[in-house]
Amino acid sequence: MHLLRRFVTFWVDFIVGDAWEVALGIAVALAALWFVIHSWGGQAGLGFVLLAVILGTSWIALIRATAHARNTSG
Amino acid sequence: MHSSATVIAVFLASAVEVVEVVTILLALGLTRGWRPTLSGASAATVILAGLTAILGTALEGWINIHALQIVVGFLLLVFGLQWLRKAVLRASGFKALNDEDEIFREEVAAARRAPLVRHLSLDWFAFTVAFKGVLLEGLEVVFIVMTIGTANGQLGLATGAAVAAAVIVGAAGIALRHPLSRVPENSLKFAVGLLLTTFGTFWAGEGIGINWLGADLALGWLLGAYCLAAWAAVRALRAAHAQVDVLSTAPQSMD
Repeated sequence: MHLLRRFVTFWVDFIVGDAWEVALGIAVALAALWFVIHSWGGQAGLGFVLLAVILGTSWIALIRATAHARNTSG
Repeated sequence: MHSSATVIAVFLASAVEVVEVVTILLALGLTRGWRPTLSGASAATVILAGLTAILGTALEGWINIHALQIVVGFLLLVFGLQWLRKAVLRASGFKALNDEDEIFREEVAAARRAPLVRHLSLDWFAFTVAFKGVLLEGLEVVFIVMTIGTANGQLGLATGAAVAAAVIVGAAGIALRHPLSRVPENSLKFAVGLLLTTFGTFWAGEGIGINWLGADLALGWLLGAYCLAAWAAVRALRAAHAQVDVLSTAPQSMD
């Protein structure tokens, strides 16, 4: 069990890194868009929704990463 | 467009990783000897080649292309964003740039400090450090080759690009006998992060059924959008970092 946990932790850290909110945001967006497309049909504009989610979550992750440096200087 | 982008992305990603591997192997080879260093590196390379063959066969045999695109696209997207985020933080000053000369000095110092323990007639320290270094850096290359190669149906081309980068950069390191510190690592990581993120977005979107504006040409405008966003992020964070510097160097109030 301990070995399995270390194995999973290694791969999560390897792929996701320290910004879990990016992975979670994209996973939720992909699931929601998949549901929308398969319920009401795909539209070209949905690509921009996915792009907006990716850019938004990435910006949040960057702000979080830089917050520590700002706090320690203040 | 797909083929050239595949080759560029995999070649650049592999080149960056091989630069880091060359630093580790040079430090070990010059201080502890080449036999255990190259034995460790070779053992890791065999494992990485086996992993590529097994995973490549398994993924190429995956019948449902849409499911493969979603999984591979998502993984590539999250992995690419990790590279891009770190490159943005380095470019804006919030994260230290990789200094291969400094890493080389640290590796040499650690190699000189470590006691000599022989196992299977090899210097075990040099063998294990070389093995671990090549395996961990190589794992990133295998991941990129697997994801880009299988989603694009160009696993052979992606593997060839990775091997070419390893041979060219590795040969440069051996010829110079010095860490490749002049290679602009962060710029390369920036470019790789942008390409992986673009590919990941396109395939994940295609997998869930998004009809991209311009079909395959969407790769171009997605890359442009990410370049623009990354440039804006670096500018904004550089300004924020300058503010942090000013605050941290300002004289403290006496009251």
